[in-house]
Amino acid sequence: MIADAVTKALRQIDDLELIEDPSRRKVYESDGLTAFAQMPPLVALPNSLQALQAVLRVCHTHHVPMVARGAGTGLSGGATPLANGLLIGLAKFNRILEIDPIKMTARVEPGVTNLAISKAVASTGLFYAPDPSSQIACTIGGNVAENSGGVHCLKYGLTLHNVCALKVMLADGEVLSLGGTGLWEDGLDLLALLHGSEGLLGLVIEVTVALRPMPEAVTVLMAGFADTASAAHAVSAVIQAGVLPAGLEMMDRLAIQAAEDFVHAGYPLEAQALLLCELDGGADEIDALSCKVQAVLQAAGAQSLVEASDAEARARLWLGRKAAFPAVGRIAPDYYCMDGTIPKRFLADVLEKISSLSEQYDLRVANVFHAGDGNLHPLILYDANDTDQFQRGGRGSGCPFYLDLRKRRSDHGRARGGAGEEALDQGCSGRGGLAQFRRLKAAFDSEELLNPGKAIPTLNRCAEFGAMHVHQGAEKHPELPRF
Amino acid sequence: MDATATLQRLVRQALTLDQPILPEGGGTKRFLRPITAGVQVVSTAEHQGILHYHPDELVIRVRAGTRLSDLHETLREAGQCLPCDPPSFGAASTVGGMVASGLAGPSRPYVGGVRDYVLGMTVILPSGDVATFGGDVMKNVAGYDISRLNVGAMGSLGLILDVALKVLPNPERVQAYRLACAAPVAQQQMLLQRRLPGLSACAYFNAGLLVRYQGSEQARPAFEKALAPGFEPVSGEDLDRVRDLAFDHKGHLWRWDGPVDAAVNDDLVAMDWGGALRWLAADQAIKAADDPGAITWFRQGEAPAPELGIRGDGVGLLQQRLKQTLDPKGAFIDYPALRPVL
Repeated sequence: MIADAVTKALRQIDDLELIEDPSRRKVYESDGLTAFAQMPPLVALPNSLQALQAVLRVCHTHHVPMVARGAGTGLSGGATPLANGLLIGLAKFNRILEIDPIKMTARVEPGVTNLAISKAVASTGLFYAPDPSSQIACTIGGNVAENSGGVHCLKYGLTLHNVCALKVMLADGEVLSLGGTGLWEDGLDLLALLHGSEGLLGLVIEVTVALRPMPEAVTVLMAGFADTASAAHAVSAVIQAGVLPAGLEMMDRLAIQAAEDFVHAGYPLEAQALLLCELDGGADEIDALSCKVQAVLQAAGAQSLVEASDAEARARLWLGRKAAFPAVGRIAPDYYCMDGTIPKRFLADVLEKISSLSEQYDLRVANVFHAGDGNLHPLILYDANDTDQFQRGGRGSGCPFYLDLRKRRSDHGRARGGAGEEALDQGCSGRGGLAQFRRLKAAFDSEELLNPGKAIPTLNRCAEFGAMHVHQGAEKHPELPRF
Repeated sequence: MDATATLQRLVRQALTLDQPILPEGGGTKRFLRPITAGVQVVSTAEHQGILHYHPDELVIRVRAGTRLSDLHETLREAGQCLPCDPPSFGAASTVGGMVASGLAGPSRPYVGGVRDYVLGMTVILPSGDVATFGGDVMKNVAGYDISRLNVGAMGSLGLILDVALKVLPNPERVQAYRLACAAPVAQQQMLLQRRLPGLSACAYFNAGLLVRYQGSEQARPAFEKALAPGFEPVSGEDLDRVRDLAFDHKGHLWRWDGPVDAAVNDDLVAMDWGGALRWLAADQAIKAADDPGAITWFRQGEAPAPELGIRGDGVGLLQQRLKQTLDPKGAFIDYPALRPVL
């Protein structure tokens, strides 16, 4: 609920669309993490920065929590609404403000989609490298909030590595420019800190991205393997050979079949695992590079090997990978997408364990992921109408990344506290780490108004300031396997 | 050697004395961060060693006191390198010092700075507790990025115990080239060359524009061909001097950070980062009214040290608020005042 006084104050703001009608608010009840839905009591769509600032000031004065939303494609619940808070949609801020082909930067509003940036600068021979799978729809503001990666982040880095400056609005409406005048800023690196902060520290209102020259030549190799372990070892072998591919992706049998049925990409249906390896560089070096990697893949036991060097053939091979999520959506009513990164040397082990968990919980799991980074995305297939399946899915989803807890994994398949307790990761370990997170939040947003309860448990979930509750879930559910 | 227990004891002891702690590695950057009265130095120099290194993961985890030269050597043996190419101001330079100062070399605009290669770290917090942030993997967005916040924080937020760094395969070929020219010509060339594939450094020093290629042997001829006439292949020595600031200056050395196309200042000693980083030598840092860059103190010249202040803008105030909330009792030294007071 939001107090009438607040709604009335918001109604007075110019250039602001307020959505009060429940049927129109319903589309905002969740982001891409549909398992966690909450009807927002009120949605604000500002049309100008002045309106946005006025909204923040009203909320700040009345202590109303706020959640910012871009395109709502995120899979970690970063834009899950609050029952007592205002949802602020930033998708209307969709202008590209400036393209500088000499300095190789673009200054854009937060609601510009990821792909729109690369499209807008294509005629200058440049591109914006991070390319999350949802790039056609996801916004750059959301990419900053989640520090999004993508297929090409092995070589070109995450959002953090490709943003040179940000303008942010703090909870009280103050506007700050982060990133300095050059490549270094005097004082603590707030620019890095904002990346991946999920809208808890400030709202991103302008992004200056670094652009890169488009590579002269690109080629894609597709290798089929008889088992996932060989494919996983091939990933390590490629890196060990001193090659840094632009992308190195893996799909398992269930994902291969679902994708092939859906888009007919020409994938080898007999393969248990598939690697897609994209190489880019100068026209004079690409052939030698390709030969080198082909030899490595063959030595690692590839049963089939296909090279696609022209744009059309490359696009077809990538189509299956990019359509893998919707393809899996066709073979099960619902799926729960996990997202976590592990050291690559554990890939084979972890895939095997996911497979045994899949049997144990009697739920199918498809694996499609950024193998070069060790960034896994197991898709747990279930039917939400079947309560038992839903619960098994929830329990099972807590396992894959806990199984590797002692192998220092990171887990960013986070969910706001409550139903997803097992998925809640604190991002630090040791005494006092969580207290630092809380202090850090207080420096930016002392009233705890921006996305409270997301990612970092709020005080009511975490009884004492500074206490660690890393394994809270484990203690509550001793019956669950913890590896 | 694992000196965690000793360091934690020293920090806890220091906490009781109500004098701020200055974490120090090899002490090679004292010119930047002088030891003043009322400050307790806690040295990490004994806390050395590589905790783990898996070349096929492109990740190495090292203790803060490990010498930078030892890290380079370990990576070289596996055919890999630290792409941020940090400066070294002496053989005693440590990994902790590199991370705490956040200083990156000439390849900064092309392959990234120190913070771009830090994946996680273990820190002794102002409370005296030991906590680990981030991890050993390429992507970790759980919690706030306190690891990267410590990069370049100059030891103001805690004592860094160990760091996980992303490393990369060594380039097959590295080659520097030089064109003798004046600064304005060099700046023009810098703007023209920004897009060259394989460009990994672009600096101006000693009346010469220096560029560096790194990449495959096959693609090098195309790089050479794209350079303006007059470039000669040279050793990387001058680029190393720009990186390590191995130049003489009578006036104080000031750091200028700003847009690559901003006009060149008369006090220029060297330009790095394709023109985005400039070193100026002057007794007083004078900034033209239309200069869009930011000037900060770096190293003392022959004159007495100038008066310096801290940032007073909104970002500066937030940075100070952050320091105060993360270190409420002032257990560690403050971030240094680097702004010229005119």
